[in-house]
Amino acid sequence: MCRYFFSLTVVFFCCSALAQNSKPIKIRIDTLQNKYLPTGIRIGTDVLTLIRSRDNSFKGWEINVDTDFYRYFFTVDYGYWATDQLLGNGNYKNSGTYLRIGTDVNFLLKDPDKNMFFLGLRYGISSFRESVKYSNAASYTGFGSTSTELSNESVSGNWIEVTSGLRVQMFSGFWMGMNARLKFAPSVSGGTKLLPYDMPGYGLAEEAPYWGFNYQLFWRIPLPKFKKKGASNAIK
Amino acid sequence: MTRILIPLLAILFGASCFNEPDCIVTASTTIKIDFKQTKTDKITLLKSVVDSALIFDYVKVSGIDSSFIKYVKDKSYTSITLPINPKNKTITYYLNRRSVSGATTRLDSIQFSFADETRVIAPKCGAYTYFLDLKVVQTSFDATKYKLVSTQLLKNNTNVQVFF
Repeated sequence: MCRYFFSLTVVFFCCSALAQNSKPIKIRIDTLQNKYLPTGIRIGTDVLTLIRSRDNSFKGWEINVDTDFYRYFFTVDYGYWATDQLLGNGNYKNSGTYLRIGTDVNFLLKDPDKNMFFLGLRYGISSFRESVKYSNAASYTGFGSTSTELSNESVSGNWIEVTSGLRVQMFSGFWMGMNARLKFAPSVSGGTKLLPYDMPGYGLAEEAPYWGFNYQLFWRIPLPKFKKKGASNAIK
Repeated sequence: MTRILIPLLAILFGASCFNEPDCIVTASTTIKIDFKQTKTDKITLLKSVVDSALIFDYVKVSGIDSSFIKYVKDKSYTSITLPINPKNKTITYYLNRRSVSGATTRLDSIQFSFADETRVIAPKCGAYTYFLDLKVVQTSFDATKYKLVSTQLLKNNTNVQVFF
């Protein structure tokens, strides 16, 4: 009897040992699912434009919106720009709106504060009007000086820009950012005898490449989180 | 990470400079005419273009009553720079040459037309009218004897070469 009991105990422990080696049921959750769904929308403004607007020769504002798709941020900038510049021999005025659309790629994906160091690409379009009033003296004084008044009533332009910068979360929901823009390939149409000079959103239309800077403040509005369907997609 | 990024933001903010345009005004309200002649090397038979010095009895510009250039003894010109009237779209020059001996003179004329456009250079420089699309409307010079070199009126820029 004792012999049978010993044999049964050995068999039980062997079975237990075998049971320890058999693979447990694993549930793998697809962590990539839903990662391209936006988690929030950031709405901001450019502080440099607002500071420049304190000067009488410039009036403008800019609204910046971006939303995340994993490490990619779809961005839209819309702004207004008007200048009234006193020239050495006259006066130049312009006013118009501009729109920039593009994408930023965030290289600080694993930052716990969700700070950003990014590189991006933008396509900008601008629509504006401009006028100039000036006088030039002829080289031969006998011909006198000429007073000229010209305007471009409807000018449109576009350009491409490469952007890079930082966005830092100062506290929950509030972000500050610095943006450097290398603008190039400007193109303007609709100019008359006055060559388009200052293109809102771009700058001097004849200069390329052209640098631009923004110092932005953002508020982030979180979007409702999507439920991850991990259980239903579990791989058994 | 935030501790690193915030000072970096401040540095970049300080570096936010603006693009200052260059104050280079190349606009001109004059037309420069060079006088040339073709010389053939007797040995190599190669042709070359060299300056030609002319003596003028007078040079007149339409719209200016007096002579723009008057005869001065022993004074010759390899090029002349003549004004345009920015208020008009054409200008005529009358060139009265005299022979070296001074015994004979010959009057030639050349009329130009041009267009203009305005460029704002920079706020402190101002805006300037640039004259371009220069054309010879009519002239007493044979068509093979002059060459339009540049259609833009710019400083230190030759517009026409006349061959003698």
